[in-house]
Amino acid sequence: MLNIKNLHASIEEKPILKGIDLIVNPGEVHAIMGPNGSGKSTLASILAGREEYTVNEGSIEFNGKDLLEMAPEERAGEGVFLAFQYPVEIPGVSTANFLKTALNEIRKYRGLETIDAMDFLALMKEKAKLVELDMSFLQRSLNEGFSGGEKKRNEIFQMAMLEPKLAILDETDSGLDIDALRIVAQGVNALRSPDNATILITHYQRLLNYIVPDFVHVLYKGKIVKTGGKELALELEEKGYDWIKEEVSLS
Amino acid sequence: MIQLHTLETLKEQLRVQDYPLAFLDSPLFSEGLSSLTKSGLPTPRNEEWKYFPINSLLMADYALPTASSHQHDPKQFQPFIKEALHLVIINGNYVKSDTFEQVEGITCSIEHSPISNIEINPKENPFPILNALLHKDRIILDIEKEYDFSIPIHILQIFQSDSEMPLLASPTVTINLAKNAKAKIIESYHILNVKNGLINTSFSVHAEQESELHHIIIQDGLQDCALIYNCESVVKCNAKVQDHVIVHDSNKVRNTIAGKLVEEHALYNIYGIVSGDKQSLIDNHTVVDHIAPHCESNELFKHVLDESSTAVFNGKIFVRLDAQKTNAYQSNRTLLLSPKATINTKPQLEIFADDVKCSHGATTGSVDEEALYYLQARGIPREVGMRLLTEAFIGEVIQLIDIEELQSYFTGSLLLSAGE
Repeated sequence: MLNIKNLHASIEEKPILKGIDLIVNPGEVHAIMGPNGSGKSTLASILAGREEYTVNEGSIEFNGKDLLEMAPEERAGEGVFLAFQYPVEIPGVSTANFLKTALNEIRKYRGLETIDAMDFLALMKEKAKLVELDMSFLQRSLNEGFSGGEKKRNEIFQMAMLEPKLAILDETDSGLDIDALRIVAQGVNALRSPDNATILITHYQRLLNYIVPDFVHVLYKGKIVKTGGKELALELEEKGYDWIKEEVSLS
Repeated sequence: MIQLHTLETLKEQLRVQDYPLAFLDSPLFSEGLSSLTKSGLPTPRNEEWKYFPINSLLMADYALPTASSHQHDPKQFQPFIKEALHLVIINGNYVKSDTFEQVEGITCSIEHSPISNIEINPKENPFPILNALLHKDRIILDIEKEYDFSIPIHILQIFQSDSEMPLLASPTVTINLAKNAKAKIIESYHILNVKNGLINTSFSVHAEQESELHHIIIQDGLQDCALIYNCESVVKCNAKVQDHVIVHDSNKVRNTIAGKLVEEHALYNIYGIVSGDKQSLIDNHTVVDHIAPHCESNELFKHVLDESSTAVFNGKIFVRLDAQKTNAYQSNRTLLLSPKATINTKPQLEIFADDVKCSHGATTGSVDEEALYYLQARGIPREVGMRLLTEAFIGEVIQLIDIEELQSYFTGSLLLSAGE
């Protein structure tokens, strides 16, 4: 589904990604871990279409199409979803209104009819239950006055509403207490299917206890330096990143 | 035909028109004319008119409105509020109808006298005096407490001309609210076929004790005429007046809107939405005058300016020496959608009492790029996102309109090129 080949990217002349290769197939959950500054958020931002980053070399194919050629809204139309690390507050736009607009734009992109108001309401009720979000939140301005945990749950709620093919969760666990973490993980797991895939970007192994990955990649200094199964995450938890850094400098 | 740049000869100019001669020779007319010629009509050196040049308006030759037999069906004009009582005014002339005859608590009458009781400072704004000298019909609505507040009154100010010459119209309306009377008045402007015209309106409100008025002024689609709109409300004890002005798709508008709190516990609110595009120039000068103590006022103006439009906001608040325990709040916020859009904003508070709560704020900015990107990442293209954010921005002021039908009418329709 996703094929990243030799991706080099920089921001304001500073190189961040120095040759990333990654293949993600439907039904898979990939975790990307690594120390601060390794390029994890950069990778997420580039997948979501942030303009501040420049791709210097390499390609990203999504379901056979050139992802880098697409505007962010087209990527959403194709089924890419980024759950932001710091979701923005938008006063005056209710979550409900925002999602209805988003859903309809995506449907338009896919040549489908706009969603019926009643169906939309029913859909919202169903998905709100998934992340234990009270319906009253949905009439409030998007993320305004939400706690960190509520914002992250709102991201997963949106993911549930938009049903993406590829979900990228950018440090979704940061700032969450155990209960919020449980709810978020529950939501993500409930959405897993053989047709979609998830990339989890995270520092800590903790999230991976709840959302069990098929593959764990370690990103260090702009490159994936190690790939393994879920055991790799446990190893990192135990030993930290130093042994990886040593391995890399030795080779 | 009439010329404004030779004001001293106004009397003679009018004499040759179809103008009530008795009125022309009255001492009030002479007084008004002499105060007008003394102050002269404003140049850009006048601080109050610095950003609103009127020279081209003053140099034109104008035709005065003649009596017309045109009939207009209110249904043809937007917004159409079905349950409202419609009052049609064409070029400032009252169109006789029996709309108000069977309705309890409201009467509509016409007067022809040259001056109203408003204190005008001609140096700051001479246009109300000009209106007083040139108007024919002063349309008066007297509202008693028996009037059913839930029926809005919709005044349609319609302008049309059969002449080649630009029209100079002087609509004049007075609203008298008796003790405990309540009403909602919509005043909308519609220009049918007038080119380069000048509309100079005088609208005055007297709110007796315990009365309440919501006045919504809709200035939408005024392309070929300049509008100089003057509105003054005098608010007495425990009375409330709320003015709402909405300017959209209009080329040249100058509003001077004032509220005078003359007795204790009076309330005056003034809200505005200005949507500017192309090369429009929209100037709002507001005055809130706290004369009596224990009064409250709230002001919120939001501007959305695109292309090469310019807006001006001068919000004056006076708190007189004896106006202790005044609560006066003012906020002006502007969204600039293009590099050439301009806002000239000047909150102006003159506070003479010492036990008051007053605040003012003015912010100007462009659309939040982070928010736009977030919307894009969820599938919403930039143009749709801009519309959503702009609607969100003005939404707060639309919510304050006390007529639900108008709220729905305005939601989504106040956006110009950003959405279109």
